[in-house]
Amino acid sequence: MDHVLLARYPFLKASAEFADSNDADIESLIVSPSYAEARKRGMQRVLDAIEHHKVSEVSLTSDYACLMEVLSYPYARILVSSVDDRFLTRRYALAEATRMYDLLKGDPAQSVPVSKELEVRSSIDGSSRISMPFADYLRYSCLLKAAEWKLINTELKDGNVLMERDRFGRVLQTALQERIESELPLKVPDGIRKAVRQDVDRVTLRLGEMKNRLSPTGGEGMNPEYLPPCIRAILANAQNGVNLPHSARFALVTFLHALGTDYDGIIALFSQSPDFDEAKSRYQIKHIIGELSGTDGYTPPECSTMKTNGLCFEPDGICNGERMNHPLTYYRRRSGTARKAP
Amino acid sequence: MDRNSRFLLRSLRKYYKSCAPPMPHRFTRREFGFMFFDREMMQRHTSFGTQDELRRFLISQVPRHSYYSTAYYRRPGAPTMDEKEWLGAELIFDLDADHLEGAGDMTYDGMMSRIRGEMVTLVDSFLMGDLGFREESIQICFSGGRGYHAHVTQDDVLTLGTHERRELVDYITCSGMNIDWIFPVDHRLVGSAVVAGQTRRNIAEIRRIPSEDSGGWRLRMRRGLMEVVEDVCTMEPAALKRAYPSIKGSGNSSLLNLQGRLIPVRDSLFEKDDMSLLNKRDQELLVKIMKEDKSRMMAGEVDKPVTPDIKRLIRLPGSVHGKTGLRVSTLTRDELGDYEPLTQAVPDVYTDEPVKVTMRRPYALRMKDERFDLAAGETEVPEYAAIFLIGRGEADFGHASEREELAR
Ligand code: SF4
Repeated sequence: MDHVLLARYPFLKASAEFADSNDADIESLIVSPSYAEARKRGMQRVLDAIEHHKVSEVSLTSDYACLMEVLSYPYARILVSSVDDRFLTRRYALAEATRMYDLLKGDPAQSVPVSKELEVRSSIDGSSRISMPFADYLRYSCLLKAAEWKLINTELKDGNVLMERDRFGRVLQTALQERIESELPLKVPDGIRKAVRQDVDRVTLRLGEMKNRLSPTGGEGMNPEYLPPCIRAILANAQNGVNLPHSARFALVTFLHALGTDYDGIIALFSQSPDFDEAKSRYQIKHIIGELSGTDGYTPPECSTMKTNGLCFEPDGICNGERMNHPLTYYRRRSGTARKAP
Repeated sequence: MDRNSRFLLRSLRKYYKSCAPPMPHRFTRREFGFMFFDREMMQRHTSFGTQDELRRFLISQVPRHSYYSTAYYRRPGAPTMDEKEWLGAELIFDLDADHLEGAGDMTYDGMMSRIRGEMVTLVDSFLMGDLGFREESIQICFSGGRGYHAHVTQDDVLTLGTHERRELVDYITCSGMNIDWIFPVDHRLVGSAVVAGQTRRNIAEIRRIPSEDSGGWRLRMRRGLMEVVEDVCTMEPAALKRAYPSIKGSGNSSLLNLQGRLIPVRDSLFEKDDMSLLNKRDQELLVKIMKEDKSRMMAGEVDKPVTPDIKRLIRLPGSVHGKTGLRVSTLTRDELGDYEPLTQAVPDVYTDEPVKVTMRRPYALRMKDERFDLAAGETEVPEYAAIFLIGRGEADFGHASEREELAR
């Protein structure tokens, strides 16, 4: 296979074989000066994932460049595995998958070998559309929430879903994302972990910065002064031992969780209520914040939902501001203004 | 145990002695569950290593109802789901009289032939049609009660999860369809004019019609549209509104006008595969009928919660349903076509010997080519009918008067 292709789709088995045939083993990838380029690019893959949601392109003009590109992929995986953070793993998987999707758009012929590698059964039907068994289709379409991916809105014929190439690209993207998420973290032996420590530290640092930037509290922890009126009221009720309806408790817990408050922090706020019973709340809170399922938990409801549930108490001037549709936006605005003030 | 239960238990034991139960595919991986005549509790988490073990169990315990898991487990006998370890599950479609409107007023026969019709549509149009299952991977089952099941064991569906299976239910029952995907709107430039120095473009919105080589609901809706167009062209406005309630607000004269406009162009619609020969209002009216009436009429029926449940217990084929005495029977697609449960699902060991029963209320029944018009009170019927009537609670075993005499 063409080396450029191997470099573009470094997750292919053929790519790993290409690396092998060049005597590039893990050991030398980690330490040998001749693979410094690959390590640099591997680092780039991970940082791109953190900062841009997508792994960037490089020019592949020589066999050497191709080899470095192929090797950068396992190196990136070692880094991600060593950090072992679910947010990073998912972001990295998405970034690699998005890159592949973009590449396939310009290079549709590759969708066949790629789909083979990802064990997505498919073939090209007479009219150059892609045909795939519906059972395989469902495994990926179920992860894509939009109605256009529902099976009823596809052309299903004799057990096969027919689709345009671009849509098939999205299916493959989801498949690759799934694949990477399920493969990572790899077990990284201590020796290797030590050798890549510096790079791992850099990734961890950048990851922390990104998480802070994404977090509504800017990584500074929740400040009760910036809470919107609705959450403030619910919290006050909870602390006064008022029995909250489920929707209110849900809104409160998801909101606090989104601000980075962990289970202990949430419990601490609740426990100020006089008749607080931790055993009863534990399961519910852990469920809502995703601790039981090992996920990110639920996201807090937006203002319109809060209004429907009768939880929008005494909205103030900020609430009535422009493009204010989420209690988290309220928090961001309040804290943003506060920070800018001298 | 009362006399009715004792009679049913005797009859079921006779059946279980007469034959060996057919075993479900990979039966050592299945959980079995049972309900009995003399116990309230359901026995679950049972597994069997051999056919003979199951057979001996059936003969000695004579369960009133027998079930097995549609799921395959690594340890089917373990008491919790976690320990069982789910490996996959048959894909199940269930059709039961419970969902029929007015089932209460129907005879058992009438009810069963309605359900049979729905099952035929499900199998032909959806399972073997769109979903492309081969006949040998579909096991059709009469449930012994008031319905049919289809079990699909094609390899690649066994590991589908709940979400994926719900998608199949939505597909079959036509839920979540995007009508603008079926009949997409094209914007076409139909002319332009220069007015006051400015070019005005005249853009028409035209609904496309899915072509004959499309698939899935697109093709089904194309064919449905042909029928609707036929109806609009030939039916009286009043009848048309009865057939398609979504247009009951339209005036009779406007429907007649539509008819007048549709008749000359009807064939061209399906040659051009679009509605460009109709004005916007007519296009939207047809689309409305398709969306609100016709799509529902073409949808298949399935019991919605059953299919997505990947840990369900379902009637064991070859066992007897304790409320009818009928055998849970597997059928081929051909056999389904004219299947008569009250003849074909009656076990051969049930005899014609007369049995004394006391009817609780009048009941009419056709069973094994015999008609029974039974009045309330004491009578005699063949054993097979007695089992059915007593099982369903229509009759009691024995003659009430004899018992009273004995008591005196
Ligand atoms: S407008 Fe939104 S943020 Fe403000 S009180 Fe209502 S729900 Fe809360």
